[in-house]
Amino acid sequence: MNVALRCRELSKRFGDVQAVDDVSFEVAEGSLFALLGPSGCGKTTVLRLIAGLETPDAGLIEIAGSIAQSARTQVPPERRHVGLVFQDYALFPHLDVRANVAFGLAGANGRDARVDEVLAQVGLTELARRMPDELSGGQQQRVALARALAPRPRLVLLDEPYSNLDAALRVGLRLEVRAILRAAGATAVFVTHDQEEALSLADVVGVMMEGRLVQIGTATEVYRRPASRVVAEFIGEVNLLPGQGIGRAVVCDLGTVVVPEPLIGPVDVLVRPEALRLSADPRGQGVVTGHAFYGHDQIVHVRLDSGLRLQCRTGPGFDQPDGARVRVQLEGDALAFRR
Amino acid sequence: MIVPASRLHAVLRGTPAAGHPPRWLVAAGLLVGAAMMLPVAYLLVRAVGSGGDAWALLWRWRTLQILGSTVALALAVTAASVALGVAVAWLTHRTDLPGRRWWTIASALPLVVPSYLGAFVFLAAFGPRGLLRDVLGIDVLPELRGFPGALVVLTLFSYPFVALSAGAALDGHDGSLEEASRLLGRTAWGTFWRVTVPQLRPAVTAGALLVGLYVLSDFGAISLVQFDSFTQVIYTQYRGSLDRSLAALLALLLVVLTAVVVVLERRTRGPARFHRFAPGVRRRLRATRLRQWTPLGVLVVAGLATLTLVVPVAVLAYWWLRGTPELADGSELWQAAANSALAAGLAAAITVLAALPVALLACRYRGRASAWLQAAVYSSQALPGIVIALALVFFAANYAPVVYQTLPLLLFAYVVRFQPHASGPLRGSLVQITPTVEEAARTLGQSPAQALRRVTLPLARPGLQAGAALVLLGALKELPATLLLAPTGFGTLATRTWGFASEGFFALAAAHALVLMLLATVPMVFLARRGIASE
Repeated sequence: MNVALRCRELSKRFGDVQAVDDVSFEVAEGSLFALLGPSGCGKTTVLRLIAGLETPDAGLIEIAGSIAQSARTQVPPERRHVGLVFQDYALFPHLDVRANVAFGLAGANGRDARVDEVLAQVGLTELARRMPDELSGGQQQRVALARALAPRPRLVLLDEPYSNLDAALRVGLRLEVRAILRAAGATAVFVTHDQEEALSLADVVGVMMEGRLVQIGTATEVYRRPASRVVAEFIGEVNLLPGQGIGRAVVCDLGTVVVPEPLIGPVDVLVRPEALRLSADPRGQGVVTGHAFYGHDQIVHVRLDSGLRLQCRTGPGFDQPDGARVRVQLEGDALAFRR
Repeated sequence: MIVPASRLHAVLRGTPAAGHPPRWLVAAGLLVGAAMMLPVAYLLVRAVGSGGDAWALLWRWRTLQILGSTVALALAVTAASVALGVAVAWLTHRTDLPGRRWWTIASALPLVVPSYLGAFVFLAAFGPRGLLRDVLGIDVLPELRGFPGALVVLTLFSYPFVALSAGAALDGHDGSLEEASRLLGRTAWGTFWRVTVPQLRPAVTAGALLVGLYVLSDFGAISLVQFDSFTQVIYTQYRGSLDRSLAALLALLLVVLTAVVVVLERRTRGPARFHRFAPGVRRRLRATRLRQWTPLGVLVVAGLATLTLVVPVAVLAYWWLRGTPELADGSELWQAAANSALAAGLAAAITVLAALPVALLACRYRGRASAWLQAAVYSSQALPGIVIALALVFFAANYAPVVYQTLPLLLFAYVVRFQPHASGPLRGSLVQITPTVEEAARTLGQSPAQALRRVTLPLARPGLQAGAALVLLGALKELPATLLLAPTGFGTLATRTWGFASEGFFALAAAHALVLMLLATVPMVFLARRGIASE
């Protein structure tokens, strides 16, 4: 596997804030890497460090095998051959779509052909003569992507690429952008605070919290085996149950559950809502207290007799009203973290 | 372009694009900053080195008198201009006054009339042997001399500063605030005082500052109405005595006075506001119906337009036509026009060029050098033309006789004098450019200089043009520095108008003045159409 991007021990401080703290990761050529984290966790700063728009306090950045940043060298942004799609797209308002896309292409030689090609790739051939302010949000985003891809960068960086789009547009465009990136054979790093986006698009997800990269793994890994309670809580909904670890078995309000790692003593048992099964049962250990209906599924809120509140994901057909007595059973993975 | 909330602070702060500013930018900035500091620095050196006689002369009762009358005049003119300017702005921007668009332009146009021209016209029209008595036989008007004369003339020709900035603020206002106030139970009158006026205050204060500085630095009008103010005394002192230390000391005192005004205004203004980032949709307020007051409104704006535009043009035209024989040879007039255009045009180009590094450093890179530079440029706002001119005369005579009375030295004075005119609109344009477009250019393979040329400058064009127009307007009208520094034989429209007027050659003065106003209308119309005139 060829490494397209290698970051080692990157650190960056802004005043009192340690924005990026000892971050290391690698991205394989042609793959899609997501930096996922809550806003203000430093993920955008990592992107800007890679692009050369900020200077790290320490650390090393290697792009396509050559050093872009180290204690001794700092390659300026214009010589890194990195495409960046900005969160606000940063289209040049004084240039039309065509001129925006052609902006990074040097020399007239083959420039028009390349612009046509990229515009066709993102499906904007018809709009080439429009000005940026005459485009919808989704179109602007595609222009920004086309502009970044046109000079055939070694690496494409996308900063919260979908955050300015409305929900309906977002899902379609995500898949489209992934297809475009794949077709271009581009290696891409994108930053997002939307876990659904990260999990559904990326080959590898890096989870960032307070400047630190706390977990790197595939979507399945970070969702099913989060490295910490905080990661688990950030990625998807979770129920936390106090429990007592006795090896790989943990005793909690749901009975005795089996966890992957042996633990002794007080623990938090972590259960995803979809791992719980509800059934109507007059002798069950809980009472329905509320519903949030989403169409394809629903979240049912249950209060156990012990006082503990749980969220359970069920199919749309589960129709027990508030106040109905239900039985809650674990039917999937549980994880435990030492308290 | 939409600015997402997460980048808002970065936009407001002006995030540095890739850390440190390029060296050439810092070097250019420091060069400009040093140039800005030169006049005051030299005056300080001069003052420190001046003998005890000059100091003794400075601490006279007379100095205090002049100080008092100058301050009194500045306060009176500012107060009158605020009253007039706010009233006109409200009439032309918030009511159903017939022909509002035209009255708006008419309320800005007096800025093409230099105050000395206004004074000359009023004296020529209403004076003891003036036009009104000559032609119409009217002899009821009080003489426009001294304090009342200065007050009337300066107010009429500087109230547009307030009208323009207040008008722009009224346009930018969120009408829903007034509506909310009405719904919360305030009357229309109460709403005006509790909501509209507080919102207007920053704009009115900014306009008032311009008026105040204008009065403090005015030389021509004040001389013509024979009012003893600082600039007038400095000039006589400079012309009339061999020891020029006293002139330097007085000039420094004037700088201190203007600096106090600038600092006071800065204090009341508070941090800059970026209205355009306010959330929610801005709503225009429905115009207030004037109903039976309409004639009064028209009377106010029409009366002002008559006094500030019709009267000057009519009087000048009258003198010109009556004195045609004096103008048998027009070549001198066109030479003066060419000189004015040349000097002002070059001044505009150089000043905007010099403003560029200053504005870029201010908007894109924060740091000690940048802050120092801002202070230097900002403080030059407090430098009246006569002070700059005196300092440069002293400096050139002593250290650089080669440039003494040459065009470059005059241009240097203009660049220092009008630097704030150019950097204001430029900064206004630059802060509206999101730094990410420059970063985008960098990631697309452009060096900082290329990004500047291909992205920043094209986007900042409105600011560059507005700045150039303001400098052009100012330099065309400028009198004291031009009088002191223009090369021998290099008459401009301003200096020749003043010269002829003070010697009583009214026809010649009128001819030059009309051409001057015509020339000054070019940048003024540009500014009015751009709507950036409030800068």
